[in-house]
Amino acid sequence: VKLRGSSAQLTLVLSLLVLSAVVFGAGTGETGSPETVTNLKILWWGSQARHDHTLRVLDLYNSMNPQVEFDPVFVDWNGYWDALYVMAAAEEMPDVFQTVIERLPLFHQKGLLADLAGVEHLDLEGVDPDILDLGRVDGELVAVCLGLNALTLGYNRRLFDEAGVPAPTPFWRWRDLREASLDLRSALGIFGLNGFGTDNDFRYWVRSRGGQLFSEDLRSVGWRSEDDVYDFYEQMLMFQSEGVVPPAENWVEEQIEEENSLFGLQRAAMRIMWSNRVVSVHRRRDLMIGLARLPGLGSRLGMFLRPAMFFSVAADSEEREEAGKFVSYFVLDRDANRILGAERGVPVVESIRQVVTAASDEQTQAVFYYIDGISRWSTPMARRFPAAEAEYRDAYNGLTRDVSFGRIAARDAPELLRARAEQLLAGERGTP
Amino acid sequence: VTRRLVPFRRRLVLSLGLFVLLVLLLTGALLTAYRGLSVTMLNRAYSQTLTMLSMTVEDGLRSVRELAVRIATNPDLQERVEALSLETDTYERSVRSSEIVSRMISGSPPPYLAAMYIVDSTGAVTANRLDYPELGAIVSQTTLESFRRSSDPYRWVYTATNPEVFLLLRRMRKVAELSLRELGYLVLVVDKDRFVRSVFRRRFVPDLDVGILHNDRLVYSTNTSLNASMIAAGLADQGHGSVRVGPERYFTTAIGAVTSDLRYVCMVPNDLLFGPLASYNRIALVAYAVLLVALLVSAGRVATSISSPVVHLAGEMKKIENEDFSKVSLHHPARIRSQEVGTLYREFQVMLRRIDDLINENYRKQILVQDARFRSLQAQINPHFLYNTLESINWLAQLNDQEVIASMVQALGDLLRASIGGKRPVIPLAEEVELLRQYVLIQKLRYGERLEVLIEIPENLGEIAVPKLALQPFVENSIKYGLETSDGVCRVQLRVEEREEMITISIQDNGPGMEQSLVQRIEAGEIEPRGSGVGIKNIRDRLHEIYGADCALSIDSQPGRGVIVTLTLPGLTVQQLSLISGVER
Repeated sequence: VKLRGSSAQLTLVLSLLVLSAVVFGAGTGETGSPETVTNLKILWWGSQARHDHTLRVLDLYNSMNPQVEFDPVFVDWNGYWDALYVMAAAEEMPDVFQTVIERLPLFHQKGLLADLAGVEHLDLEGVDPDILDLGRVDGELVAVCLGLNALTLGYNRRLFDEAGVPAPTPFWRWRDLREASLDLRSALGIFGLNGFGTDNDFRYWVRSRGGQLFSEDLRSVGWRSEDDVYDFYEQMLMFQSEGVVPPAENWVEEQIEEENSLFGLQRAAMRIMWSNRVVSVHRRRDLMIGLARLPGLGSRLGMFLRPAMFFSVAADSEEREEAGKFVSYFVLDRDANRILGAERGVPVVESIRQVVTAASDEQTQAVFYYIDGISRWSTPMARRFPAAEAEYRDAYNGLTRDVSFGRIAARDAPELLRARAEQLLAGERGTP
Repeated sequence: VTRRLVPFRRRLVLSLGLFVLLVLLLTGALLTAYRGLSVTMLNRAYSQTLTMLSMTVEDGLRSVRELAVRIATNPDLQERVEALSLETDTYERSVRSSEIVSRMISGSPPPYLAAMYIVDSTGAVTANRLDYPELGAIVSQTTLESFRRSSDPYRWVYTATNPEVFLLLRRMRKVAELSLRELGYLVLVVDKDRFVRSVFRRRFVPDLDVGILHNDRLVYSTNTSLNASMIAAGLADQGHGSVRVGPERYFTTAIGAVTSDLRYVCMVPNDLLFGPLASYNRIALVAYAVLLVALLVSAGRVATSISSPVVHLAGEMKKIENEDFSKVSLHHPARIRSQEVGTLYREFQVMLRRIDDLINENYRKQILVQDARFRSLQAQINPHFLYNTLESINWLAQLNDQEVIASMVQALGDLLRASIGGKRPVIPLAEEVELLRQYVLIQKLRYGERLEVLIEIPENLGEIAVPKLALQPFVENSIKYGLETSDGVCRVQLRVEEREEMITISIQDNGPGMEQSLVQRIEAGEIEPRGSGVGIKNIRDRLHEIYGADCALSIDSQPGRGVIVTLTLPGLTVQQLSLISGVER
C-alpha cells in the first residue's frame, strides 16, 4: 500500500466505508410486497355455449389485465334468481352480474345496483343513447344492455323439408301453425310446436291484441279485454288436445333450455324462443333454424325488440372501477365480441355489430337479418315494469299450469290472473 | 512540491495497520452481509410458511362463513324465524322454537361447530343445544348489540368471553321475493382447537410456534410459551426481524392475512437461529485482533532492524560530509542480522576506503605538480644566466687572446643550448653530429691525446632525423669508462650506414667492456649505468615513442673487448617524420 499523505488515506478510508455500506446494504433487502390483485366475482345465467364463450373472454381479458382475478359463477336460468337473491340477502353480491330489463326496478328499489354514471373507467362511447336508456331506472344508469333480441318462431328447416311441409311465412296465422304441426305429426310423428303458454307467449298474445301486461301507471293489468286472455288459454288447451304441443304432463318442457328441449332434440319442429338463443341451439345441435315472426293478425303489435340482458354492477362492490372497466370491454371490444358472437343478442354498438357480422356464420347472420326486420315490424315494448314482476310471473306460471292441467277452467283464469296481478301491484304501491 | 517525509517505520506500521484494518472491515462487512442475507432468507421462509398457514386458516374461515350463509338464507328456517318474531303466545313460541332447532342442524355439522344461536328481530335467542352455555355466557351483550346496530353482513368475534371459542355473527335477511328484510342474526360458535385440528388435519408444522392475532390481541397460539405479552412486545418493534422480549431476543416474522384482518406471527429464539453464527463472529473478531497486534509488533521490529542501521549509516555519512574521517565508525554497534544490511555495511566500508585512497592520491599529485612547476621555473632561470655568463667568458677570453678558453666556452654554450633549449624532439643527423663534435671538442681539451673520436658519416645522410642528444650519452659513457679504467688511449668510433632503407648508427669503443649478464640487465632497464643522468632506458623510450616498432637499440659487449651500441632507425628526414607523425597523430 503506497500512501501519499493524508488525502490518500482519507480516500482509502472513504472507499472502505462505501464498500462496507454496499455490502451491508445488500444484506437488508426487503421481501417484495404482495401484488395487489383485484377479485371480480361475475355471475351470469346461460347455456353451456354461453359459459364457454364467456370464460374464454374472461381469459382474454385476464391476459391483458393480470391484476384482475375473476371469480366466475354461472348457473342456468332456473336457478339464477334464487342464487342471486341469496347473495343479496347474504350481502355478498357479485361485482358484475347479468340482469333483465323486467327486474331492474326491483333491484334498483332494493339498492343493489350501482349508479354507473359515477363509475370511472366505464366508457360506453358508441352505444346508441336510446339503447343506453334501456338501462336507466328513475333516470339512473344501473345496467348496460349487452344485446338486442326479439321473440321468434324458430323452426327446424330440415324437419320441414323432410316432412314436405311449407315453412312458416311472415303472414302465418295460428291456424297455419296448427295445420303445419298436424302435417308434421302425421309425416314424422313429432310435435309441431315445442310448447305454448309461457309468459312470453302470453305477453305477445296480449300485445298482438293491442294491450300490454300492465297499465301505463302500473296500477292494473294492461290487457284490453278478458276475452283476450280467455282466447289465449283456449288456444293453449286446443294445441294440447290436438297434439300440436306436448300434453300438460310435459309442462316442464317449456322450462328446459332450448338445446335440451324437444326442439333441440328434433322431436318438435318449432319453438317460440328468444332470437339470441337460436345460435346456441344451432351450434350445440347442429340444426339450421329458420326464424319467423310469431303468427297472428296483430303480429306487428305483438312483436317487440327487447334488450336481451344487461350487465349491472353491485352497489356494494368494492371494485367498481375494475367492474366498470370490464363491462366497457365486454360491450365494446372487437376481439371479445368475435368470441361472444351474438349469443347475448345483437350487439348494441354499430361497429361491433359489423365486426360480429363479418365473422359470423350463416345462422348468426340469419338472426341479424331477422332482428333487422323486426326493428321495422314491431311496436316498442313497455318501458316500465313493476318491482313485483317476478312474483307476477310466478303467479302467471302457476295459474297457467293449473289451467293446462284442467284444475282451473279457462273461463275463470282471466279474472284470477287479473286479481292476483292487481294484488301484487297494489302491494308494490304499499312499499315505499 | 515539497513532500512531508514520514519515517520508514511509521510508514510501514501505518500501511500494515491500515491493510489489516481493511481486511478486518471487509470480513466484518461480509459477515454482517451474510447475517443480513440469512435474516432475509429466514424471513422469507417463515413468511412463506405463515402465508401457507394463513391460507389454510382462511379457507377454514371461509367454509364457516359459507355454512353461516347457507343456514341464514335457508327459506324454511327464515320463514320460521319470521313467524317466531311475530308470535306472542308462549306455547306457540316454544313449538316454533323447536321447529327452528330441528332445521338449524340440517345435514352433519362440521366437528368444530360447538353451538349455534339465532337471535330474531325481537331479540329472542334460540339455541341449537340445550347443554351448551347461554349466548350471554359466551359473548358480551355489547358485542352483540354493536353488531346488531352495524350494517355489516357478518362479523368475526375472536375474543369472546369464553377464550376457547370464536364466533361468527351472521345477519339474516329475507330472501323470499328479494325482500331483504332483516330477520335477526345467526351466531356460530366455533371451538378454536377443534377448528385448527380440522383445517390442518396433520399438515401443521409442529416446530414452529405461531400466534394468530386480531387487532394486536392474541387469538390463538400453537404453543403456550408464546404468550400474549411476548407477542405484543415483539410486535411493538418492527414487526419482523430480531426483537428483544425481556432478557431474550426473538426472530419474529409477521404477515397479514389476505382476506381477513388477522395477523400471523411466529417467533423463534435468536440463540437457536444465530447462536453458532454469533460465536463464529466472536472467534473471528478475536483472531483478527490478535493477528493485528502480532502483525504490528513484528512489523515494528522488522522496521527497526532495517531502519536503525540505515539511520546509523546516515549519521556516519554526515561525518564524512564534514571530512571527519577519523571519527567514522565502520561497525554498527548492534548485531547485524540481515544479509542486506551486512552487505550495505561492507560496501560502505569499501567505498569509504576507496574515497580515502583517492583523496590521498589526489593530494600527493597536487604536491608533485607544484614541485615540478617550481623546478621548471628554476631551470628556466639558470640557462639564460649560464648562457650570458658563458658569453661573457667567451668575450673576455677573446679579448685576452685565450683561444682555447674561448672555443671551449663556445662549445659548452652550444652544447648547453642544444641540451636545454629548443623544443624539437628530433633533429637532423648533421645537427646531432655537430653537437657531438662540440662535446668531443670539450672532452678533447680535457683529456688531450688520450681521446680519439672518429666520426664517419656519409654526406647524404645528414638530413636523417634522430632524437635530439640520442648519441651523446653513449659517447659520454664510452669516454667515462674507457678513460677512467685505463691509462691508454680511448678510441670511440661512430659510424652511420644505410642498409635497406634503415639507418644503422653504431658507437664502438675499446674500453673494458662488461659481462653479458650486466648487458642483459642494462637492456632490461634494471640498472642504470653511472653517467650524466640520461639513461639508456630514456633513449629507448624516446626511440619507441617516435618510431614505434621500427627501431631497435642493442648493446653488444664482452669483457676486454669494448662495447658496441647499435641504433637502427628508419631512414626518414625530419620533414618526412613530421608528416608521418602528423598523419598518425
